[in-house]
Amino acid sequence: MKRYWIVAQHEFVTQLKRKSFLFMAFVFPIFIAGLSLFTGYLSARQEEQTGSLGQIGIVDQSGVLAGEQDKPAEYITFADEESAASALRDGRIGAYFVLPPDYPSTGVVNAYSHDVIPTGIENQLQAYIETNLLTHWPPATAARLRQPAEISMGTLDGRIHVDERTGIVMILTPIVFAILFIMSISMTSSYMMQNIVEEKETRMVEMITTSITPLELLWGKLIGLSALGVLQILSWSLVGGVALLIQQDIAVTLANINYPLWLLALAILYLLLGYLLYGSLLSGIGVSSSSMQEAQPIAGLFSLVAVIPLFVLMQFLENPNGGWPVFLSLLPFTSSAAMMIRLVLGQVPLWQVYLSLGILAASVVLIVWLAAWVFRVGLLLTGQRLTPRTLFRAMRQGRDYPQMVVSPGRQGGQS
Amino acid sequence: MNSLVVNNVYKNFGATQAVADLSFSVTAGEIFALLGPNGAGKTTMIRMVLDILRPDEGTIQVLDSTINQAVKDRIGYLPEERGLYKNLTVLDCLSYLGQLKGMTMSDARRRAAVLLQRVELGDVMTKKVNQLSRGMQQKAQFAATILHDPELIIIDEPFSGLDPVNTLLIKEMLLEMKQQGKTIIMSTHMMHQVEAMADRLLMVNKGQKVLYGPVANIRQQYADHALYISGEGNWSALPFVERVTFDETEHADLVVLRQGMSSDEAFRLLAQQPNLHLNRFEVALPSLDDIFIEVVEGKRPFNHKSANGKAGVS
Repeated sequence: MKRYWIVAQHEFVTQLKRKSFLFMAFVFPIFIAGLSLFTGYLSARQEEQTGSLGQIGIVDQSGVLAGEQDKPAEYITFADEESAASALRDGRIGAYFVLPPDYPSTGVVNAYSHDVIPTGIENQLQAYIETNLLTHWPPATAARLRQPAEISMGTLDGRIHVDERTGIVMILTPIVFAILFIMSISMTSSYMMQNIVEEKETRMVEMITTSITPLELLWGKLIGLSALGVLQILSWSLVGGVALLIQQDIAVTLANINYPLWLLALAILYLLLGYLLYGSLLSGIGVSSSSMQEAQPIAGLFSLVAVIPLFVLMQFLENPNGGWPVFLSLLPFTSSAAMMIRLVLGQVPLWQVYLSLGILAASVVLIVWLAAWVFRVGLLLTGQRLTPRTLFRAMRQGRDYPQMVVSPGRQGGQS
Repeated sequence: MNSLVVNNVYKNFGATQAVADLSFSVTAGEIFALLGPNGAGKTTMIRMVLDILRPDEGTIQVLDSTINQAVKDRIGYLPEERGLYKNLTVLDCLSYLGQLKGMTMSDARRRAAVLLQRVELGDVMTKKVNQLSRGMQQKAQFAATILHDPELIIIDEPFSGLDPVNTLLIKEMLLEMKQQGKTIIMSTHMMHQVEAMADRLLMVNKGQKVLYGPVANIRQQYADHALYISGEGNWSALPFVERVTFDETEHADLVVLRQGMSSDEAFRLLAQQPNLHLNRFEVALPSLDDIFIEVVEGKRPFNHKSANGKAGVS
């Protein structure tokens, strides 16, 4: 078995057993999801509380509600305001609404109550008035009046075709992507750097480097810890998904949309590569800094760089194929987030997608190589004063690792 | 056959010369001692052998090859800086290190369990490393060093921090490995620890070779000016004797000879004395500590002043 693979397995299994990981990956998202479901349930109940004020009085001076189409059961019609007011004073009704004679032109409805009127009761009134306003139209036209246009977008070549609801979900993609991206980077940053700094602190470096090369060590750690990060994101997504789907209305909406699978596939690919890129960068920081305190702020800066495209979103909205958007979607540090925004905004030339993926993958390989080099040079400089000469020498020697510069000597010794 | 050949190796750290023109070889199957005081360049030399550092000049051949990954797999190395992964169990830690040396997981675990039993850590192998005492951690690390059954074992300060019982245990295991044909290189500043074990030695001081050769020869060579004598008579009055003291451990008089007098000559002269009766006549072998002090500080063993610094035998 390849040695980096042994390192990867070891790191994955060891970190997986840590309580802090188990908590962050499984307990924490379930807690957050439960909390948001609970608050969602509370506000939904608030909206459904149509009967909380008991009977509701209606004084219609405008004549709009004359047909009393779909009148809610708790509504009582009063002829004038005085009788409604006395009913409110007597406690027979909890509130009453007055539609003044000029309502059709102003849209103003007066409400009277001893209590706050819940959103649910307000919504009920809106629906009641709307239904009665639209009684003169055929049902199909009434429905159109309620929602005049559902916009369906497409590109000229017919490659992308989305309806409005799908479009909204698509627009959400880069935002969800960015959140997952930042989360994964900040999580890995702690794993990756802590792990490498620990490796130095346990004084195992000499034993390890006589077993495997720095390159194998760093690849192994990157693969193992990235797998761990992926597991954590999967767990969070799964919990988040379940939390969304058990809310019936959202589940119905999601079932009806036609989400493009290619976008999902690209999102996963960009997330993974972007994640590896930052993992390799952080490993580089880990090998070149002596403590976590030193390394942490730099890691924080990196997660900001990753979402620069979100800060310059206006540039993207104006012209997704403009100079800056194209540049940011090719630059490896920002390409993941930038390309996701461009992909949902419009047509991206295919070669740019391939190119940005290629640059991203090549950057990962290059940065891991550089980190291993820094690691090796750091070892070679052990005990040496840092002068330009020693540094240059160590850099040259470290680069040709694992080949040796020493030529074979004479055979045999003196004994 | 040589397990290690070092030719004219130099290493400077800035202005400090850590190793200067060092050449030596280690024969396969022997216990080789790399001796010298703290800061003599022993660890630097070992690090160069293992390619952790690179020599400024000179060549190093390990197991008949310049060092590479395959060669490293045949070496077991116990660094001076001790440490194991603190949050792993002893068994998991050793199993991981074994796998990094190319063992399969099942092989590594099986052999780790056997070795941990051997170093009397069988009861604690499922405990975490940080729950072990320092001495226990050190034994566990020793087990990790020889886990993959290396041909060449390089140990930096093998006995530091070990109590006498554990020192004996590690000595026994090293001698067993020698019996099995392994080559062992020990680096230590505690010279008396290796006196009885090492076949040959290299003594370095300030990065330079001061003594090199078979331990027995070196001790013999520095031994011709003191004797253990017991019997009847008064030897302190003899003209070739400088002074006499009683050695408690040897239960004999330690007779230090005058400058220029050899033990052979002293034996002949003693035999000619009519009033002396000898029960014991033995050449007193100096300890490596004594020899080191003589070579480095110009003092002769047994506190005998001498300007005659010996060069090492090769």
